[in-house]
Amino acid sequence: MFKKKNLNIITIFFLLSVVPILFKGYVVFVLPQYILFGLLAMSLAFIWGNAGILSFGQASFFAIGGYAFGLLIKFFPGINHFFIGVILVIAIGFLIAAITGYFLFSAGVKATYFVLATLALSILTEQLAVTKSNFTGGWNGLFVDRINIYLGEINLLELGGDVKIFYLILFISLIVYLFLNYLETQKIGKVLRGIRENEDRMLALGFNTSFYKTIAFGISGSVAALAGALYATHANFISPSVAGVLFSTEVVVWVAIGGRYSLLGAFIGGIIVSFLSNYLSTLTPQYWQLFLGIVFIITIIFFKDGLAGIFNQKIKFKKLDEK
Amino acid sequence: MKNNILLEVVNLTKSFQGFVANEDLNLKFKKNEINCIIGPNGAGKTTFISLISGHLYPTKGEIIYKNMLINNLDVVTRANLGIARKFQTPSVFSNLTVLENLELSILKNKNKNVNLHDKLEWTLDLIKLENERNTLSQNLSHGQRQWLEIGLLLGMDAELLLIDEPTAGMTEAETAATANLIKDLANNYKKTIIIIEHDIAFIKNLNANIIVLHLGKLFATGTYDQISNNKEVKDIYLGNEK
Repeated sequence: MFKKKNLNIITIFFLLSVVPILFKGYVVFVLPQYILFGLLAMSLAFIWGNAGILSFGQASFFAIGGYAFGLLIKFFPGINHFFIGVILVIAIGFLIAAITGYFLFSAGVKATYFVLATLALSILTEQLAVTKSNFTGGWNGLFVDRINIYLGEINLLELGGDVKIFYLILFISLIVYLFLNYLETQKIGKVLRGIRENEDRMLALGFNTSFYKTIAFGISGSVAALAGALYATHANFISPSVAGVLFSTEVVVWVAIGGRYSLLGAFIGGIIVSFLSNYLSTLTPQYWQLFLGIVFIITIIFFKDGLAGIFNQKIKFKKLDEK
Repeated sequence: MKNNILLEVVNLTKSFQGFVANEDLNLKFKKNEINCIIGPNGAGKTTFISLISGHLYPTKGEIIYKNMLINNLDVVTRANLGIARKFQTPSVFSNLTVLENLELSILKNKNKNVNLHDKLEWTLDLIKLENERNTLSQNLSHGQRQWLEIGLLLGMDAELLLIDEPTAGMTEAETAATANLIKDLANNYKKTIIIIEHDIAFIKNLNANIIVLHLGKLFATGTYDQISNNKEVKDIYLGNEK
């Protein structure tokens, strides 16, 4: 079981890592953006799958990460962009999510009400990005420079190197995956699953559940913000459209299709579904959302555990046949 | 206060918008003893348990646990002080295995000298679920789920066990096994136990202190023999009140 999971990870990251060797040009440029959507999906799967907390606020943290990173670079061009910027963005994402989570969880806001509150957060972020146009550029968006990574005097990552930034983003995604996967095996992961299954029982066992939920939501927010920052610097651009309700909903759809109980499933779901959405939207601008909607409904009704669930089921059946 | 008293309630009262569910209860619970609360429907038994566990707060009166006033402490804090509750409807983690259920309860265990693996095996043995360790708890029988929930209380190393209707849905053999388990916990593992029960054979078997509640008030206390020969207690059950 454990080995099979390792094999899946190695396969997926290997396949992604050979893309710049096999292909050139646009694919290499654009794939990292889908990978970052995958990372964003992972941030949702971490809380939705483990703790049963459905958030429509992931786009908000993604946008906050993107804008925060863009503004940091804009106003403090002298700082070593990558290391300081990334650490700050992770901290900002964590803080905003944890503070939001703290107030909602300690007030006992749950389920549908939590969804609504996080939905409001996305709208709020979008509105701020639009109205504070002297900082954010309003609807026109904010231009963000490509990052430079300096190690002492050496510039490890030059401006505009598509292949280098591809591997950087893939590497960071792997690190984040390994980190979240590690957390799932630790005490916090077990406690979160307990909360998902039966929160009243966890309280009666003496667990301060809102503390664990707050930490988990903070971690999820920091991952989403990191994805947003890397997205902004990769695309050279961030706009209010990545904060809104529509984008938030898309993230939920990716994770539902990919499989919310599997970080890897959500990651793949994020990459594939966001790619297909883009592809379909050029093919049939009128109907692609209808098509995506149908896939979503089928998944919800027939495959509650998404693609990852189907994949695991198949393996289970195979094992049964072998017996 | 004498040292052998674990829990005491003084003038404990709980009213819900005028309806008095518990009225001026004065009770003392000694360490390592089994106490059975009985009474007809609406006597206020579950309300009493909820007041002790922190799921409800008293309108009036005092709850003193280990010489400490705990009236205003919440469920989590009380659980960490060693007050554990088994709910009327078994409250376990349905989609987790028996072992995973118990692991969660042991995660809270602060006693660093405890070997977690030994503790798990000890609990599994006590609640007779050694052979079901990898079974999802939703696939257990109703009786086994009751035991599993008692196992959760043991995992957290609670001292005061509040057990609401443990034998509901159990066969006769399971009920007898449950009585042995509870006696074992009080006699050999220093647990103080408060049980709500209806099964009179089970109560007799436990040889416990019996507390009779009626319409929220303390009606009678005593041993099984005293209570079973008490005409007034019989009357409230049969509805022969004048």
